[in-house]
Amino acid sequence: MDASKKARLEEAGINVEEALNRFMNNEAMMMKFLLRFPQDKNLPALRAALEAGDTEAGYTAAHTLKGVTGNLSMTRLYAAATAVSDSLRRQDLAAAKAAMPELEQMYARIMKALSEET
Amino acid sequence: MIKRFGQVSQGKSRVLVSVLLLVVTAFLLLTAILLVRIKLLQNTQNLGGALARSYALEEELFLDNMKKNVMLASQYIDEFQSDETDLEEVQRWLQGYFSKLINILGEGTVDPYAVVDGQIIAANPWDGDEDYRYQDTLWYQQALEAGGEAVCSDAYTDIINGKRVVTISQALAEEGDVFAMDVFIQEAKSRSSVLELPKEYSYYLCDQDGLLVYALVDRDLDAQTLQTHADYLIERIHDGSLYAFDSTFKDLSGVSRGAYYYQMSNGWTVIITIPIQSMLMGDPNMAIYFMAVVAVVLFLVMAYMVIRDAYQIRKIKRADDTAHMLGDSFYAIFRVNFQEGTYEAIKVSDDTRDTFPAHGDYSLVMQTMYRLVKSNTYHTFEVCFSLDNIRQRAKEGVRDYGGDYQRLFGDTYRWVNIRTLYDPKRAPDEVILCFRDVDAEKRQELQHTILLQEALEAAKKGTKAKNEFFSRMSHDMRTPLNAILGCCDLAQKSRTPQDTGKVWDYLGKIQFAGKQLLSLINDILELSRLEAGKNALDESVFDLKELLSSIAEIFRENAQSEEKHFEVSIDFQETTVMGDGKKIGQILNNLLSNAVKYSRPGDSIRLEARQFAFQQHSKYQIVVEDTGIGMSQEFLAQLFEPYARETAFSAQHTVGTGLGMPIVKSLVQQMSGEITVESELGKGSRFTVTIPLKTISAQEMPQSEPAPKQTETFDWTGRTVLLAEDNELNREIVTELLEQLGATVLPAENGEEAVRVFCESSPYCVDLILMDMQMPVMDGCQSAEAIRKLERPDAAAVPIIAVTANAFSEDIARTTKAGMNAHVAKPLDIQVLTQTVQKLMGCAYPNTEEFGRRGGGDHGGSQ
Repeated sequence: MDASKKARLEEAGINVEEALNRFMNNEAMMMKFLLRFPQDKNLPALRAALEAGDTEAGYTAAHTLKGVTGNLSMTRLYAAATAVSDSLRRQDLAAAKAAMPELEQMYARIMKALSEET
Repeated sequence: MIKRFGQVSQGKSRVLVSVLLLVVTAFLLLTAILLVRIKLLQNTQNLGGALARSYALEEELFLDNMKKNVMLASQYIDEFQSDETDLEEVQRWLQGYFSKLINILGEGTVDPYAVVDGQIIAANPWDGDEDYRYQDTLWYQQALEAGGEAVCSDAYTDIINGKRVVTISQALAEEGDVFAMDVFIQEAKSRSSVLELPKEYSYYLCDQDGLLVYALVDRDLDAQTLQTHADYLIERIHDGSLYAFDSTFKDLSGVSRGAYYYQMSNGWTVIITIPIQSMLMGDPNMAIYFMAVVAVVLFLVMAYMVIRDAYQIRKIKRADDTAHMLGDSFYAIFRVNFQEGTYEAIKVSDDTRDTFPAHGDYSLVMQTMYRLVKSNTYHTFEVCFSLDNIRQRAKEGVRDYGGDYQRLFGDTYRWVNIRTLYDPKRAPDEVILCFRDVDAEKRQELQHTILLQEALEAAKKGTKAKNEFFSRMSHDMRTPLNAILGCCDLAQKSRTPQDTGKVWDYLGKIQFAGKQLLSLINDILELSRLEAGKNALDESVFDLKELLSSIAEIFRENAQSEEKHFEVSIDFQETTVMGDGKKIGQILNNLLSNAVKYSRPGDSIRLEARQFAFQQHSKYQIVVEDTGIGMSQEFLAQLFEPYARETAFSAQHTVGTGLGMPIVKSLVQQMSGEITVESELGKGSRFTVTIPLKTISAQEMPQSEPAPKQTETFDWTGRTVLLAEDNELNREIVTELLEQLGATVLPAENGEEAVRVFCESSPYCVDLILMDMQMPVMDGCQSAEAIRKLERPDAAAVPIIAVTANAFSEDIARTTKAGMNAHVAKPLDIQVLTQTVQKLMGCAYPNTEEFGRRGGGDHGGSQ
């Protein structure tokens, strides 16, 4: 992988080393799944659930988002999703909402970086 | 048991009486109506009978008159015949007579004629007179037989005009001569008083044969119908069924009528029929209607009153029952008239039954109370429930007043609640004085108060201890911090190269102080964690003997350097156990460090451990004993309480927070064990810890445990993995990774699908199930449980690995409970997964040959 690409992904909050390691150093496979990420529906679901005040649905979405971002080694987004997921597990809607801007920001960065890779 | 002086009337019988009254009234009303009806009918019968009789007499009188006319005419004719008879003269006279009669009686009523000298002479001559054989006629023969008397024939129908007619005839003086006159009754009647009968009345006149001579009905009917009806009436008259006053019959138009009749001397019958309706009611009459309405209204009013009465009685009975039930919770109830100073006993207790008459002077109550109320409260009682005070409270409008006191029952005192209840609206001069046994409640209440006081005391003590602890802890923390800062200061000042040794010395001191501070903080954190109950057990299989020995070795060095004897004796049958080794280590560490800390040179320290086998759960006992300085009894009492270290104790140059023993106790309790301590000041201490632990036999041991050097890797080639994961992206990632490694993946989107996919696979086809925890429809645990319950040979054996993002211990406990074999964390790391599977297969399939039989996997895969 060329250094600039790696740097761009790292900048967006993706731990490329770890991800490559998970995908058994298969860069093509890693990129394939990274580029699949924008289609994942968990963030819209999370937003809707928080809007509706549905902690249960919110927790499911956040928890799954956490799983997906973890698998893709999106470390910072993973951390933000974990914070939201943990808050919702405690039924703490306010804390979850408070953690959302961070999550949104991380998400936007990753989306931007991924759009540049296509 | 308890006697009651008042009894309330029985409501039920009153209701019964009311209903009875209502029934009797209704009966009387009906009887009255019936009597009136009977009387009316009887009157009508009398009236009808009299009417019939009077008309019959009128008929007879009419016929009689006709006879007289005949007799008169006969005498005139006899005079003509005295000398030479001129027949023409007789006829002229007859015509004159006829016209005079008609003037009186009316046209067509009579027709006179005579037989003179063998010839018929008529006022109105008719054809065929010459051939008429008068000798054969009945009227002629009857007249001759009567010998000069006028006779009346029976009624018959005239051949010429078809009307009903009778013939009156008389023999004349001359032999064979007869005078006769036909009387047309129907025509005669047209002037009769019969016509004055009320319109709805009917009148029938029948001759001796029952043939209708004349009828007057309110409708037009032909002769045949009338005759049939007359026959019917005559028949019923003969059989007597119309004789009774209340007998009726239905007329041709279906109206009920009464029939009244009279038989005339010549055998004729007069019948009058009157509609029942008109005789009972007469004309529609305002007065009758008014009476009926009044009767009905009266009856309804009465019925309403009876029903209302019944309803009220029921309400009263309910209120009465309620009052009784309420009253049952009191053992005695009095009504006290505080103006007159008297009482009325509603209910008295058994033991004062003989003392109280039903009514009496209030002072009697107070006298009895003097005997029963506990002497130290009697005075207050007397004052509070004196008439003056009761009166005063009533004036102030106090409705409910009272309190608890102890009263003698037999030979024991029990708590009793007394109340005066006052309602100025219901009884302005009276209060209800009632007594209730509240012994059990009162005792409970007192106990609660004591408990609350104790709890408050404990809380206060706890807060105080905590405050003291924090102030002391701040001091304890300040000491090493000061040392660190001081040493840093000194080290900074040491600038010359000769001072290097000093600097090292300072660094050493800084390190020591730092460590001390760290251990202090660790203890505090540990304790607060324990207190919050967050420190869950983390169980694993380990060798207990090895653990205890290795910890003991650390302290052996310590002890020996301080010239203390150190002995270790471990006697276990089974050394491999399942438990939280880290926490057991912590316990032993604390106990041994205390032993070393609180012993003097030359003292001895002894660690002794043994096992009490008891079925599967063995009990392990660890004893730490020293001959050190020991503890006072007062200190022992507080040993396990956090934040309670004696200041006197800490004055000795010891290190630590005083939290060690509370932590040890918490840890032991958490493992369902117990800890005891014996100690004597100056002689030493002995701590005994007993913990139940599950022993693991050699076969049960995971073999890979002591062999990290063994780098055997699991080979995925040809393996079939059932992957349950709801997120598509995650599912694809894991699928692709596993497929890269040579495995076949059966994907499932949720727990339910996982069960279905497993069911559809042939037995032993699925080598491993990877189960995500959180899934829709059916989560991982439910799914695993369902798979384990399936009726197929591999259902219980197939390894299931939970994939979970929450490494919370309660979640892990759930997976174990659901029958899953292991768990790996999310995000999934293939290497970790491979290791886990490797470990698991070694355990679940001890016979690796068997496990490898189908996949052709290579287990010796050392790279």
